[in-house]
Amino acid sequence: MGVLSEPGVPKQQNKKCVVCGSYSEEGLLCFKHRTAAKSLTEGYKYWKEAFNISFNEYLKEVRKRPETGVWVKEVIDYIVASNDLSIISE
Amino acid sequence: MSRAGGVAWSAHRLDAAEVAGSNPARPTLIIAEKNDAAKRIAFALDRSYKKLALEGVPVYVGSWNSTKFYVIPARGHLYTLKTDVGDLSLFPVLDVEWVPLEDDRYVIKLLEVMKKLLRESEQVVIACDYDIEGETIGFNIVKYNGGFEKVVKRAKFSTLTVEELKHSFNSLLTRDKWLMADAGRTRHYIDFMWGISLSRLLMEEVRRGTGKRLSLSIGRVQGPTLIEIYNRESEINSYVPKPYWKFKVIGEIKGEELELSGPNLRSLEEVQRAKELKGKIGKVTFFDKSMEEIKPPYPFNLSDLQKEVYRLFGIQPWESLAILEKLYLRALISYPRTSSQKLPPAINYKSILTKLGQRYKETANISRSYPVEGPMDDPAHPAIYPTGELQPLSGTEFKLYDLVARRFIGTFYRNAKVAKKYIKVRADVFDLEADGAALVDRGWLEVYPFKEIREKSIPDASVGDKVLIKDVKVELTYTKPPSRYTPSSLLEWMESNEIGTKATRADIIKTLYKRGYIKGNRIEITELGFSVARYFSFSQIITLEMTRKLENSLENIEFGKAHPSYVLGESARFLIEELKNVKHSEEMVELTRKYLAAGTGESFGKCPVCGKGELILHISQAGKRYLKCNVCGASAPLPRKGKLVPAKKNCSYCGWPMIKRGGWVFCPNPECPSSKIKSA
Ligand SMILES: [Zn+2]
Ligand SMILES: [Zn+2]
Ligand SMILES: [Zn+2]
Repeated sequence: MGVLSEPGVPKQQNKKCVVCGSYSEEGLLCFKHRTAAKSLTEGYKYWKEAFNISFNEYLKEVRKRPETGVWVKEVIDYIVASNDLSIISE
Repeated sequence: MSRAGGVAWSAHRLDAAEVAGSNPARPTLIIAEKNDAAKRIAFALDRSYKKLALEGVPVYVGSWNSTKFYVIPARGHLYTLKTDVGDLSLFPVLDVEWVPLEDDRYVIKLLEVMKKLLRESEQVVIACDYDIEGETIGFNIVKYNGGFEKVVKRAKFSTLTVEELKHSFNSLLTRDKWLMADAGRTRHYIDFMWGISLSRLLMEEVRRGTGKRLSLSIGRVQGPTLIEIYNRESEINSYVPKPYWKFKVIGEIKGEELELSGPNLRSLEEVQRAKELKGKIGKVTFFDKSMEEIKPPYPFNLSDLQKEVYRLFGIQPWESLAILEKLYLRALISYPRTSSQKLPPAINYKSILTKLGQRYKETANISRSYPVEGPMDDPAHPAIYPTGELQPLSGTEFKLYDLVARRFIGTFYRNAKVAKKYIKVRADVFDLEADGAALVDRGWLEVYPFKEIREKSIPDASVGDKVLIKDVKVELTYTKPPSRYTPSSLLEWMESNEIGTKATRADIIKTLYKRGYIKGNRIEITELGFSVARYFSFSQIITLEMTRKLENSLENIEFGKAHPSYVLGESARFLIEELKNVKHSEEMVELTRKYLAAGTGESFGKCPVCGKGELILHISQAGKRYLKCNVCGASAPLPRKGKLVPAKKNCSYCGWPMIKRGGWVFCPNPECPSSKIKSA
């Protein structure tokens, strides 16, 4: 009577993270990159207040910092390479 | 029970009445937890005790109050939990029973000897550690060997000194309820049921998605602990630093210089305004002087001591517990597994301090008759204290002993005194401030110098005094991600979230390392650990709340406020309920698949072919296991079943790292000359 002995849930297609290609439960990003994109969005206001810089400049600066998390860096690399800002506003 | 054959009736009656509890012909069996403890107990009760070896099992024989006694040491738990449900796809597993550790030959012999001595004895004394685990060990031995037909008593002691042991055996406790054993046995049941069920769920989930049988496991308390590490890892990986400027000025009051710190600055405009302070005059708006008294730190309980030992010497919590255990078994300190921060007068402060005085001159300077105590208590044991016995010690054993002894003496010391100053200055729109501190009386720091009081001198001032701003310093800084857990800070987290017990927390962390879920002293989660934690965090099966709730129920058993079967039922209901709500995670399957493709990451040693790479354990699509060098690609097949661990030695024929499976050590190299010898 194993709980999982019933046939598996059918695999849904096209549910891949645009950043890393991993499975994503919902939307364009996997769990990791969704979390990272969210904090990237939230972080901008502090950098704008401090240096009065554009979003693109912000991305460049944050990418350079050693304190920045690896998932955030991966998101930035994707945005810079694809010029696709839609994942940020998601 | 015909032991008086041939004796006259009247004499027999007299005999029986007289000896109801202490027939000189019928001995007392004393069960100790470990060999060292057994020896100490025998010595305390009878200085001329003798050591026997029955079937290779040490037994100490002597006489106490004209009754013969045997002291026999257990070796930790002799019984373990087992289920007959062997099919790994069946869970939850609720059918569990205690069985002897059958694959351990020594335990089998030990139990035989115990059974024989039990039969012979009139009375049994459980003298295992006075806590949940100790009582469970002793209780199981007595219960599963017919011991409860005898008079069963409990010895309670916190040190292995002759004095205390004698006192303990002169006032043995009788029990009608074995609440500690009830609590311990129930904890073991629940941990076993949850552990095996969750592990099977995990393996089944992976098998469904990848077709592979990975040997994975997770425990009831390990689960939330791993999830906490995973949450921290996620915070670090998704961290975006914020910029700010640190802001300090050099001011001058009546010709005396001082450094003042201002608020953090958030923007370039603020920085500009701050810089313009240079050359301007500010005004003192507040000045205060006070004498602060700092009480001696509380007596150590286990977790305070483990934290301090890590802070000072970088020794991991499980290592410090092992050392403390040794010091306890040598009767140098009291029982270390305690939550208490209290030292009751019964331990005899004066006698301990007098003995310690031979090594610690500072005992001459104590000023309190009662020690400073903390709020935490433990019904079973006082805080950790030195017994006063002195033995030559070196290395880490000395370091830990010294810390315990100094802390103890410190609790009788006068307060330390620090003269403090605080000044506040208004300059333009900014509030600037500075603290001053000077140690006036070292107090307890004389004997316990392990705390640092930072001294800083600042001049006296009065409200309204003018302050010339001579210089302004701003420094661009970025906020930092939360720091990684260390075993010590993780232990603290478990403690403050009330999961696990003081005796089990360090081991739970160690198990997470052993299973390859975490690595490093600044703890990083591995890919495997990440997948497992992600799965349980996503499926919400082992939540912190649930774990804490069960911990509370278990505690209630110990204090007689809940019946074991009620708690067991509650836990089984939780488990079934949780399993019903399991959400399948495609993501988990995907993560596991990636993890498998990269090899499990588990290295079995240096590659002897190229001398550069590591031999990593891989599992093929078909479920076959093999080693593959991550540099040159050299590979070797492995047996499909059984847990494999590095044997930590190299093959003497070919130099490949050897592998252990159960009791079998083999060379994995298919070309190894040794395999040709065998098959020839
Ligand atoms: Zn992704
Ligand atoms: Zn190699
Ligand atoms: Zn070999």
